[in-house]
Amino acid sequence: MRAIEGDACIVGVGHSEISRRSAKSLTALGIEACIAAIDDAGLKPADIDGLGGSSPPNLANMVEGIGIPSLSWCSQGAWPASQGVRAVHEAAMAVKTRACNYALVYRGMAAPRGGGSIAMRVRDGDGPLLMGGPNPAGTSQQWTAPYGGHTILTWLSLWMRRYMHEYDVPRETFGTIAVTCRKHAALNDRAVVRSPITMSDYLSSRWIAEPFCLYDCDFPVDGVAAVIVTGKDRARSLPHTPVGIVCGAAGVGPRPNWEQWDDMRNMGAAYAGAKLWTLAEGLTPADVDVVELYDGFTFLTVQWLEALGFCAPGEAKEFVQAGRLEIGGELPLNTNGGQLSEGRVHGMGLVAEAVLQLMGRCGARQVADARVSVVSNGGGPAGAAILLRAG
Amino acid sequence: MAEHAEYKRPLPLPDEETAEYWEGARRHQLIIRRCQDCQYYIHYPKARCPRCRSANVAGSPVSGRGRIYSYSIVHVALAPGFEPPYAVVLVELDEQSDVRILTNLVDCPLDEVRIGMPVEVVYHDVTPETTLPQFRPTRAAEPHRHFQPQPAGNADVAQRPAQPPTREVHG
Repeated sequence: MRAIEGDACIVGVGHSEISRRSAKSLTALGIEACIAAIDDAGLKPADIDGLGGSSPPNLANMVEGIGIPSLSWCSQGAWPASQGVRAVHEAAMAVKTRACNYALVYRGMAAPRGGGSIAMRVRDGDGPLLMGGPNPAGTSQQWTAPYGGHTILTWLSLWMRRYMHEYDVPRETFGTIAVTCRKHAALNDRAVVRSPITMSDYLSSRWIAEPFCLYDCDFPVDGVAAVIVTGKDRARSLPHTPVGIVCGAAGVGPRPNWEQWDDMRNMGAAYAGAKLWTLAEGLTPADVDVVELYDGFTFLTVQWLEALGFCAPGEAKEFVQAGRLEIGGELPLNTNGGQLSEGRVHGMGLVAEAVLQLMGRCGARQVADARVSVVSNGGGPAGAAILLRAG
Repeated sequence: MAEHAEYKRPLPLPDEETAEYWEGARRHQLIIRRCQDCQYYIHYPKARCPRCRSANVAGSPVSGRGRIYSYSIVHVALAPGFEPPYAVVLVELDEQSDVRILTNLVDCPLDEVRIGMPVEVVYHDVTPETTLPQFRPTRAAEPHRHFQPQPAGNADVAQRPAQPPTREVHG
């Protein structure tokens, strides 16, 4: 089966400054990243006729701020897996169905300052947002907020505990992800935390919500990343060797609810992973040179390794070895330091890194002869993944 | 159990689908929606049975007994009125294992929480209008039909570093 999105490709990458706290608004950072991506692709704002991503930054402010004259395709994602990877996948389909010629796709996150995601606010001590005010809690939060269990942090800690129990997984499996990402971050000027950590640091760091410790959680930043998606015919005249979007999938399971999910040994990722390889034009996990797998929490990265078939369900505890996952190893993982170290740009930082790897533009952290990559995004009931190929 | 007057924690805001659950809790009954045709329990409550598609559904009392499917010990401030650390547990009910209730575990030291632990509901009247079902380790002598003791040395327990001694549940 040939995926409709095949032959769509990524031709430019841009980042805003990424910092623990910027004096600029998220909209300003968004415009900065988008203009950088347009420049990188050798295009002008007037060429852009498709826009995908998630608010904030506010879409209207972005269109005006970048100077886009008009759009014929626009998508602002919502659940599930609204972050970077699914937005890029949607843009590929938009280009292939000729809804637009050049799609600009962005995703940004602001570190907590009276807003932001619950998990980030919790980690920075700002407390979570409650729907409808702190008291009472309506909608789905009525089941969880009265028990202090209404955040992705708590839900995923329940999933991780069950996964560890079912497969007898040691904490070191997750620690290896954290230590490896930090090692890679030392090679990335954009990473906000670059000092190495050891397994001992990981095991002795403070608890956030057991079994999550501090180093299991990604790093909140102010930052935006963006890419440009177009068709291969148009890419030929542009400066970079394009990175093809071979296929993508966004998976959701039969009980897509954080607490009621039927089997917490797996996630929505498993449904995305299974579909992805049916569309992969003969490529298999063995063909992948570098992976950028979502690490909002280390647990999610471990889940994605199983979901994408790099190892069998329950076998990550054997598969996750530092030597294998480091640059120079058999399957280099999160070569920019991941969200654990470069910072949480909600998946788009991982997309940007995969593209730069396949374009051969990663300098000291370049994976030799990187031709094929998988990028994934999301956790819990929903997840999305795309398969990328150089040239 | 009656709580003090100044209750600061979030309170549930019932809606059309969930009123029967919270009204049951006020009467100190655990009411789970159930398909009246195929007898499947539907939680969270929905207008149709996800198994047989029947719309003939109604609240039905359950035993309030179950076991811990998973748990988290929360060490950060997540909501007003909660003082960490505290236990958030996911209870699967004896009647149907895929009915899960997210709750706190009360009357249990945090370092004794285990997956598979048999638990039973206890009702906390937190305001004149609201009662929260909570769960505690089962006290009755009657054994649970689902409970299998977990082998000692499970990874989830053995890997946990020593914790401060003051680990009491804030229920």
